[in-house]
Amino acid sequence: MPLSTPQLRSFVFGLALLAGPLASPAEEMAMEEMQMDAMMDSMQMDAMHGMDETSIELFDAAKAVLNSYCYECHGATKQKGDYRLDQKSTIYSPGESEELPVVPGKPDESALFKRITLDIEHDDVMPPPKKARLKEAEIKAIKDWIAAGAIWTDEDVRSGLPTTYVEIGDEATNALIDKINETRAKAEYNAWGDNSVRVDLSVTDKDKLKEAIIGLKDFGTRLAWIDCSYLELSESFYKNISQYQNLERLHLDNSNVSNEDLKALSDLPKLNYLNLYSTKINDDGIAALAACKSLNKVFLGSTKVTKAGVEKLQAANPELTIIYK
Amino acid sequence: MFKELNHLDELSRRKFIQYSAKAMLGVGLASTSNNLWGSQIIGKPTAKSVIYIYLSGGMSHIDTFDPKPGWEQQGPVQTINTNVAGIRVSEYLPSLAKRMDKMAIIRSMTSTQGAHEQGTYFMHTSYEQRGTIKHPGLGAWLNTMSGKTNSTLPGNIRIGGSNNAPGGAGFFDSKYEPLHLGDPNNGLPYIKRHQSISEIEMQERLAIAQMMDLSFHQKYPSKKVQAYSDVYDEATRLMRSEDLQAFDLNKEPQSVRARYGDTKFGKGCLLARRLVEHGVRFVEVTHGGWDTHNDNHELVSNLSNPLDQSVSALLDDLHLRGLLEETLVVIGTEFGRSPKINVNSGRDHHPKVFSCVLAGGGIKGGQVYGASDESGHSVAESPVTVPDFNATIAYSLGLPTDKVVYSPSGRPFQVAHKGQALTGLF
Ligand code: HEC
Repeated sequence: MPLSTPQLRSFVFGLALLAGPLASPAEEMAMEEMQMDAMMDSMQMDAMHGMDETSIELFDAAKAVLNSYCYECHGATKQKGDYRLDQKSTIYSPGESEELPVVPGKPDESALFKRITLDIEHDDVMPPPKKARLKEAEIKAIKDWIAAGAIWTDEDVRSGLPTTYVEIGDEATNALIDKINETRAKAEYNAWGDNSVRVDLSVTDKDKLKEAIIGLKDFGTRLAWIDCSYLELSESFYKNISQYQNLERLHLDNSNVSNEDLKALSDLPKLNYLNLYSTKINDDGIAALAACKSLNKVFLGSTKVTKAGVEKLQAANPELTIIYK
Repeated sequence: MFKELNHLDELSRRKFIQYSAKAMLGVGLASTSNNLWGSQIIGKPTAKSVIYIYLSGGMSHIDTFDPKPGWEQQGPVQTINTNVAGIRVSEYLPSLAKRMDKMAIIRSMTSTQGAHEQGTYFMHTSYEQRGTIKHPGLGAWLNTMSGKTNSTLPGNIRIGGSNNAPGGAGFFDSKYEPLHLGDPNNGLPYIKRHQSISEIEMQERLAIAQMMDLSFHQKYPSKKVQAYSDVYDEATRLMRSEDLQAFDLNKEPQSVRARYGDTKFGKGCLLARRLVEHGVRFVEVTHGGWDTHNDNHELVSNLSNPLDQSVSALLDDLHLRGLLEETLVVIGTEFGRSPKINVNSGRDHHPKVFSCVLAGGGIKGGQVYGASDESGHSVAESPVTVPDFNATIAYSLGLPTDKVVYSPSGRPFQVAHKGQALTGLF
């Protein structure tokens, strides 16, 4: 069974190579072999492609043409020129001529296409001269199919097609996401499909945090979730947090957030999750949370908050779930 | 043949991400005909990471999460109450019973695979193992589709178990292969320079490696080869990174370590929590030995101790830190065990019905989904296939389960095959 194929423990392998004692020649050979394997795999990888309604239509049109003009000589019964084009496993492989019949994306390099466009006098013309010629539109169908990647969508493939595709996001937001992700911050659309965005700032490259925070501003009301755990942020960052009016979740766990900084949070009308785990917040700080009416969960473990402080907050906001200890 | 394949489009990650949960929400809602959930507001899946507790060997469902007190061959195990009225589990799980309000038990899991290797493969990939194709596991799907989070740590880590268990990178780029840590105590192997190598020598080696790479790349400008040098880059980043301390359990206070227990599995769970806190998106912790063909009850009781203690500690910790909502904790296994006790006081493989557990990640706790019949032999209500289960995990992570991806041979694959997410659990 295929499981025995040695999987690439590439990560540890990389470390071993860099930091381990000198590799023996045998190990070096093994490495070369792995690289070659990797290359072969990669070629297969590159063959993965998306599938959509268009490729099905293109395929259907091209297949209809091949069916009426070519199957009689290159199908199940006869394989003239040792070439068969009615099935996926053979249509891409050359017959006697040894010329690639179908080069995905490149009609002009595909022998199959070249032959149907040749002059009737030419030796290689297909179908052979005594047979009916393809019409303009039929030639175009073949050309379009090859140009779009010559994707063979058989039944097997179609039954796997999803029924609904809904795209989320928009160009402008995509661009913002790509931009902020260059700082290694992690921005992505939320899973619930309303085009809102979450940004994890805590994984940003340390020297690019400033840049990430500037990029964050552009998200404005698209932001539903910010993760600032483990960060040292400036006072002004906290002060200006209310610019993200649609913010629902805020992680400040293990950050440098102070009592004073919490005051700005009451200006966030949708904030419902606030994580203050392991911060220097105390009772004075959380008193300000009573004004956050939308809040329904707050995490106060490992802070200086006391039981009395928690009770006071609870009394002010009975609906609030306080996770304390 | 490869030459032509090379010309085909490659999959675009951007496109991947753009397929939305909206579609899935729609599909999922329609399919929950069982209107138990009808009146409830559908919650928002909020997971960004997964801690997958894999019980290899096949956990006996009727001795753990789906006890059958009325069944003559239940054997010497009692049933106890949980902190959720009406839900009862086996006495082997006293601590988890107190945390039932955080968990959803699926008691109607059903698999088509009755052998370990095939069953494990199926659970990890949603595909039956056949032919030469290697399917990717959920960790690889997650990291390919939505990218890894932490800038230096690998996005997919496996603790314990065998280092070539199925469900790795599959047909994806090798950089999505899980990093395997055999023993949580040892942290990351090779992470320090060997004493015989000085910093300068290491720099030299790097330079040589880069030169070799360069000529190799020019000769074979292939993506997979690029992935290799990415591995070096990441490895060097990691060796110099402060994130390395994520791997160091000594950073945890003794009291915390004690709660997880002094077992390999307990340490694995603690390490998993640390890694997830540091932004690792998929961590699998293997707890082996559940293949109880002999002395089933004694073994299940022994195996349940660390499971009960460590997973309880994990749930508590994640909860207290506010991480449970975005960390999906999964307890999975390849199949259940036969309701009949065999001549060796054991139970045999039983894929027909078994139990799995989900907690956190937006899952509403305190529920049981589906049911087995009175002896735990067959599904009695709401069958959940392995692909359905994986689709549910994918859904909680916001992965587009409706997106088709092509393997090298041109066959279509989906993140959870054609599984339907149990959206009612959220
Ligand atoms: C009446 C029979 C006949 C029909 C119809 C026919 N072919 Fe051919 N085909 C041949 C023969 C004979 C050869 C081998 C001689 C040659 O290479 O020209 C051939 C060779 C080929 C080759 C080269 C295979 C190789 O690698 O050697 C291609 C490509 C091809 N045909 C494409 C087509 C297409 C496309 C059609 C339909 C539009 C078609 N043929 C219709 C008889 C036919």
